[in-house]
Amino acid sequence: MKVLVIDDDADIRSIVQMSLSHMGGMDVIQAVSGVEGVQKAREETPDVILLDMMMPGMDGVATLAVLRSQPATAMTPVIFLTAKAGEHEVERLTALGAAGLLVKPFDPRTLSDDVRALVEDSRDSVP
Amino acid sequence: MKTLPLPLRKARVRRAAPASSVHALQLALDETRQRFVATFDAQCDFIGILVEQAVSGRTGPIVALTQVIHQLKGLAGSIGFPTISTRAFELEQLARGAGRCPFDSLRGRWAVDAIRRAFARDLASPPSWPTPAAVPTARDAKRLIAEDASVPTVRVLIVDDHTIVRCGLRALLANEFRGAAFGEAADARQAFAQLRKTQWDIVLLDVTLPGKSGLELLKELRAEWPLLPVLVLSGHPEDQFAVRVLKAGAGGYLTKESAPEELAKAIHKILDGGRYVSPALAEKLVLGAGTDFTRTPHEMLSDREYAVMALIASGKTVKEIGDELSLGAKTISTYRARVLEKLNVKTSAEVVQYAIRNGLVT
Repeated sequence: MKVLVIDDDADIRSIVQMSLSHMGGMDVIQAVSGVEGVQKAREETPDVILLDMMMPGMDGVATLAVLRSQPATAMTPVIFLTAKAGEHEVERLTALGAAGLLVKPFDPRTLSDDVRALVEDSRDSVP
Repeated sequence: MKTLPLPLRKARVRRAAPASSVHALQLALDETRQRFVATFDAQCDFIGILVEQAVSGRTGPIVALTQVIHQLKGLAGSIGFPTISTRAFELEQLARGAGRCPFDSLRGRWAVDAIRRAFARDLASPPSWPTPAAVPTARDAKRLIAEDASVPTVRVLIVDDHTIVRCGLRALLANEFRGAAFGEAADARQAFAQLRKTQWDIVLLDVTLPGKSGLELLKELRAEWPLLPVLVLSGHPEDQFAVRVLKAGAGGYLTKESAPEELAKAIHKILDGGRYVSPALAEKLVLGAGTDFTRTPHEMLSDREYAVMALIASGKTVKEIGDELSLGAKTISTYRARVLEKLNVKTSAEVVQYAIRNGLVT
């Protein structure tokens, strides 16, 4: 599984990378901003995108909107990495087209399981 | 729209990763942790600087603080420092709240200290990760801030030139307001220094201060911090002075003869957003007692009295005023006495001051 991680924090990117590659055997590509993320998503066509909610410049929601508007990335499942959100927030983000939410801080030992499960759920829900 | 049946959620099976992968992750995490530990102090210093800058209320430092602390929260939690992460989250909540109300610098500083303390605690225990359910929400963070016993419940700045009075007030209030934090100032200059340094919930202000009077200080406070409640304490009896103080924007007026319980009552009332006047003063105000609560003192002058006041304010003597208004010196003296009474001042010099302060002369 090929995963694109879009986060402005280098440490978080590297932990996600380590976690997904070591524990989940996934290929990980990194992007430091929404803009770079959109570009890499188009070039690399990842199976899933992990997207930080709070980034300077183009934030998570804006990035998701751009990803959804482009044919190459419109169907790629996007998972938000964000602070713990209430039911309401989860609903709002899924309504925007997110496959799910992962809470930051996360446990790097189980992150890849959670990503896989959310991707499978989102595949199931696409008719 | 056609509703699709919800897909059954698959049980999330933890796939057992090979031992070598677990080990590789462990090593990589250890490396990140070491880097985090090595730079932690510097990072806290930086956060401390941002907290100090955020006091000014400028958006830049507050946004920077929010981002830095947000990252610290995410990183610390993800590499197994849960206490740091929770403490950082509290500071993040404070910084986010700064968009709606002034940044709470005192709590901000406390929060930075709490993060430093959390570091020692996390370092002493093996790494641990909260389950997603146990990750605190914004509401939890706010509750934790509110519950933190090390954070004061109320911050009181006491402005009085007498050390014993300040100590006495402090002792009285420490008893009534558990966990309160106090600041002291002996004059206007010190008061301003304290007010600029940190945020206060209420100011207890003595009216008779050396140099700048309490009333002048009150007006300056109101100009700069219009929402900061001020309780004026006075050795004067409750007379017209109370009216002037209340008019100048004080949240309450209390004579120093009052019982300690009355002081506590006044502070509670003012902190709740109300204004406090003692029952005795309220009665006087209701009965009028020659004062009109809604008008300024100079509005209560008759036209003739006002003219005399204006001439006194322009520096003229009684004789000169008499000449100007074609009246005898004795009549002018009578007018002058009424002006002094209505403006609640004692000398012509104070009339001049009053007129200048209220923009009655140019």
